[in-house]
Amino acid sequence: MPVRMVSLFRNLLAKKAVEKALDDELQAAVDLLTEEKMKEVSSRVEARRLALIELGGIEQVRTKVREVRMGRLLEDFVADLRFALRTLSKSPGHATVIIASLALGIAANATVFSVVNGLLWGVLPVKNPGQLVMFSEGKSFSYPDYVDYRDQTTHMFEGGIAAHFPFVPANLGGAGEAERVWGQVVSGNYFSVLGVNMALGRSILPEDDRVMGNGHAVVLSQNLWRRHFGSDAGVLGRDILLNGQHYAVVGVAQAGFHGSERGVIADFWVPISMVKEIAPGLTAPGVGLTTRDDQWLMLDARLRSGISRAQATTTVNVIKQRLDATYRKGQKLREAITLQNAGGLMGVSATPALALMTVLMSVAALVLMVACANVANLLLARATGRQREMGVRLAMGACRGRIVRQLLTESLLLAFAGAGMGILLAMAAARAISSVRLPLPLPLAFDFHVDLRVLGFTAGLSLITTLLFGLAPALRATRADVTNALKERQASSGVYGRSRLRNALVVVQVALSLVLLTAAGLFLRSLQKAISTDVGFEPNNVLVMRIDPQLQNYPAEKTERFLAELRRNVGALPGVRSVSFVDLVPLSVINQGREFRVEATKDHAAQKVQTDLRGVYSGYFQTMGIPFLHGRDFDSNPNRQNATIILNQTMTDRLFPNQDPIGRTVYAGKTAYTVVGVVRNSKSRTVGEAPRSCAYFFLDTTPGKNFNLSGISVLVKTAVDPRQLEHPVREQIALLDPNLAVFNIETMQEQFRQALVLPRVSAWLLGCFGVVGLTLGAIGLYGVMSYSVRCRTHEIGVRMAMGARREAVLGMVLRQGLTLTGVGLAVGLVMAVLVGRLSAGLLYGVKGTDLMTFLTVPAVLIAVASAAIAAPAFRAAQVDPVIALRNE
Amino acid sequence: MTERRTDLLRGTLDLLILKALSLEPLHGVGISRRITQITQGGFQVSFGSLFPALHRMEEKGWVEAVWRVSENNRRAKYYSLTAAGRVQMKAEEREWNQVVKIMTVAVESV
Repeated sequence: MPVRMVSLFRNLLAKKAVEKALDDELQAAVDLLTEEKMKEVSSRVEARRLALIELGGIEQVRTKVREVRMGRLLEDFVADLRFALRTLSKSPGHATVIIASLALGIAANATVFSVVNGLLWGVLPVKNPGQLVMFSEGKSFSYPDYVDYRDQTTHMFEGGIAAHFPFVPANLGGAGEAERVWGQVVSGNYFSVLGVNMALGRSILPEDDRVMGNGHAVVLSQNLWRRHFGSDAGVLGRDILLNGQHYAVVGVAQAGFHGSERGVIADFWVPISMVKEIAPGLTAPGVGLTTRDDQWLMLDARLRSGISRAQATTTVNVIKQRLDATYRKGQKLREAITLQNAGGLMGVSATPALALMTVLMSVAALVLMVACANVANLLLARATGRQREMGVRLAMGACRGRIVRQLLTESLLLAFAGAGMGILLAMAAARAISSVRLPLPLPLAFDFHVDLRVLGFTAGLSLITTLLFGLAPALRATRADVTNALKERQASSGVYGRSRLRNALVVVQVALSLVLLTAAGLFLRSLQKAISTDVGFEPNNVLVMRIDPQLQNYPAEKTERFLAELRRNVGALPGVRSVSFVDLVPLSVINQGREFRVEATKDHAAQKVQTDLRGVYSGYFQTMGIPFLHGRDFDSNPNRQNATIILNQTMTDRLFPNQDPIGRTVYAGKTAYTVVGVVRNSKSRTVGEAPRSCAYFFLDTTPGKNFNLSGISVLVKTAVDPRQLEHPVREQIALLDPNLAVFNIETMQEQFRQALVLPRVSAWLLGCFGVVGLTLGAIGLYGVMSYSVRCRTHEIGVRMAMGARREAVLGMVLRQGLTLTGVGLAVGLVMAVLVGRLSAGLLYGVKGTDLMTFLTVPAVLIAVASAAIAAPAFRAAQVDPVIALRNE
Repeated sequence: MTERRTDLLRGTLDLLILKALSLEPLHGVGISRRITQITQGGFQVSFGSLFPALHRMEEKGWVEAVWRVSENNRRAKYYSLTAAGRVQMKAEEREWNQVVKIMTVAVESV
């Protein structure tokens, strides 16, 4: 409709010209009519009067023409927006409170939604991700089974089934400083099945995967290429070292592709044919190519077009039954294979994840609803104050729909301002959540951020909230009986009687924020206690760095020679007090343990002890500051003939109560160890644990034995700031083997803090929720009190006219507000005590009824609540009886 | 000639205006007079309805306007039918005839 578009633009843009033309036209019409009338009457003035009567008034006609014009609604909207801005800027405090309230509610939703978005709905950066399926939610399959499934389903899946193993640690050498990286071994069809584009070069091909031990090709991730190779296009064909083996770089994957599991970050891919070479340590625990018992590969496939997921599921399960019948007679069988969308969370079934997300979304929605209720209260309070304005507008002939539209525009403005602030908060929150690193030695990372989908969600949410909080006050404001509104008399008692629901809402808010803040307080106190706990070792001035010589295919003797030389060289550095090695530093989340007995038999139930195990070098106890109670340290060189062991106090007490343990023998399975020493207890797994039985043996460097993902930790006790020695120690390691990566460099203090990450995050989260709850509660209280004071203005005026003093009025309102707070506090305290009792198991060094917390939190709450009540109370006290009563 | 007659069925006014303009271009007052004339005084349109209708029809592209000097030497805005306006007039005529037929049958049947 070009004519209409032209009119629309002309009406909106050339408004003045359009108005002028209309004026001219109407003026001309009046003149024409006047001429006509002049034939009937003699006086020109009289003629003009008659002309105007017939026209029906220039202004009236003009208004009617304006109303039918194109873009009328838009023009109205802009005018409403302008009016809303002016109204809101007249009471900035009021607007701020509303916007803050909405921002909190919307931020909570946007944050949860961006997490849900990132966890569940993100799409792999591959071709047609909808066709890709993953087998049994990321459960693992053996290599021979994989080959059978692959070869018997080619009619179902495009390019066959792809297999990969997601966690391969590696020393990346041969180019610059050695780096610890994580990669994956993949089948030759992996990249073609997934449909991943290459930024450079080619992908891993089936040829690379044909002959075992002969596929020295590697594809790098975009990140690794940028980080380690400076985005050099000449990297193709370059020879690099991965765990001491030569590989040729054949390609660089497209940006954004980190492997097919969500949250796992892979930096390189090598063919399955190289699995023995790339991960020598991995071959021991169940990574075999010939046995069907070693289940380690994850499978993905792309459905051929025309093949449904159900058909494919049936087919693979027929094959499964055949395999089970042939190879697993009489064994416990695995459940039927299912096919899900590829690119999901690894090992996490979508259903419980979805359930958790639903709970989170519901909580967030509840927060928003409370925020909306609060805002509705505030707007109601205002609507009551604006009844006179509305009355005047209605009396002047404004139609109700028009006023409601204008009030809703005001609400929309508030909602969008709130949404804007909410998005900013959500961005910060999403970044904070993404930055939380689990204390696990695995390449896990999530990237939550506010994307277009989140923005769309938030915009939709703002529209809904506008209706939620804006409609009721708008309808109420315009329902006003014109006569009464103009007289400004309010049916105060009736309105006030209906606010029971509002009061209940405020009570619930106060109670919930008390519970949340109390829980946060308990966790904080627990954290505080934990930090000041004696962990049994001395975490100051200890530098920790990890190396993984096992991955370099070092034989045991070479590792021992390497460690001995490293200890001598580092020990000679200035500022170094002592050097030692351990397989797993204390307070790591992962752990290792075994059962120990005093005798080699199996039936002495009373004398077997489940024990944490640590492989250490001599000097470990000196370096860590753990004192010996009896006996001595290990010899500085391992004695393979006669295995020795050092026990901690708890283990000694359990196995050798009231006996001298030195020289006795303990058994782990059939292996005998001679006890040479006893050391003081120290924390092993967590700061909060009760004393645990712990044994130390000499670190076993045999390849494939005691494989753990953290490698070997080098401990350096220093006389100076341990960070100063980071570089010299790295240099010493590089001198011995330039291709051995050094990783996870930290001080023992940092490791200690990292160990408290979960309690810290819980305290932080609860604290955030508590503060949000408190803020909303305060706003709710403020809203209800303001509304009540507005409704009672007349009553207060009467009271004052009758002689009530300002202090009495102030006291009356304060009392009303504090009663609400008090009820909320009482309810909240009961719940808080229950929560405290329930969380007692999670707390360290603090009782569930910690007096300090239970005194501080209610005090803070009362202070905040009083502040929220004070403003309306003072407003009530400022009521001028003359003005309040004049309108009668 | 009563005021009530001015708000006849919705759409009637449009048809009357289109009809009035089908002979020659007219200004607002002229259209009003022409309608009175062709309805033989049975219908007097108020300017409060006429001008909004004219502007609406102009925006729809049924009529177009030019400023001209009137017969008694005054500048006035003259409206004339466009091609689209003629098509619209034919359509509204057909519609109106149908309404009349139906209503006549209905009114006379009881």
